[in-house]
Amino acid sequence: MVQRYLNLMCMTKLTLLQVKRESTWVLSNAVNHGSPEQIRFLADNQVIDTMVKHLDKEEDPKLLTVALECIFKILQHGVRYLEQYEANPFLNHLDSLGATKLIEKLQEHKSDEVYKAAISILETFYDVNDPL
Amino acid sequence: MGYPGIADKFLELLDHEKKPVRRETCWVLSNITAGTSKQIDILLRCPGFVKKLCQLALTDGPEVLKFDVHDETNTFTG
Repeated sequence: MVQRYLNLMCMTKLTLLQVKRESTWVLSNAVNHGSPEQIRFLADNQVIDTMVKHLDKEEDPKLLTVALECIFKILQHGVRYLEQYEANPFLNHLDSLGATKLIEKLQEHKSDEVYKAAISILETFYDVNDPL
Repeated sequence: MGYPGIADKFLELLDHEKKPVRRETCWVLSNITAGTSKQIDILLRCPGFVKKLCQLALTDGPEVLKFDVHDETNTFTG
């Protein structure tokens, strides 16, 4: 419901904006509402890579927040594989893409939402005293 | 689930030459993916669907907006 509302806000405030943003929403909603199998499928099919590219290139704070929240959700899902792989497979994948540095950098972002989303990933899934 | 081929139709619309059509299609899709996992499955089962969305998410932005962002960057750095 919240997501739909946000979606509507995006539509009215920024009518010209943007296939890019809307298609990111489609993916992010699927991650948020999908079954464990579907989240795994999405994570294994370029969704992580796409979100990380957003973190690197994107300037729109809203889009950055959506990307960070999507990554959070995928990592949260990865926790269930801890026993099987002895590590969060998605965390390893993120790290191989250089996402850790990008997320750390976003802690200094001027938008409150972006900074909070970045911090909550680092605090939840990384050992803050001993970053990977 | 009696809508055979609807995902293929959406996939076609994501390639539509007019940007508003692509944008509105995404909006419709974002409401489907905010639904149940059964509804999400209709899209995920269509080969190439996620790939297409990832591609749009990274490339499909209006030129005008790119200039705006660029100007702002100049103001901040210059």
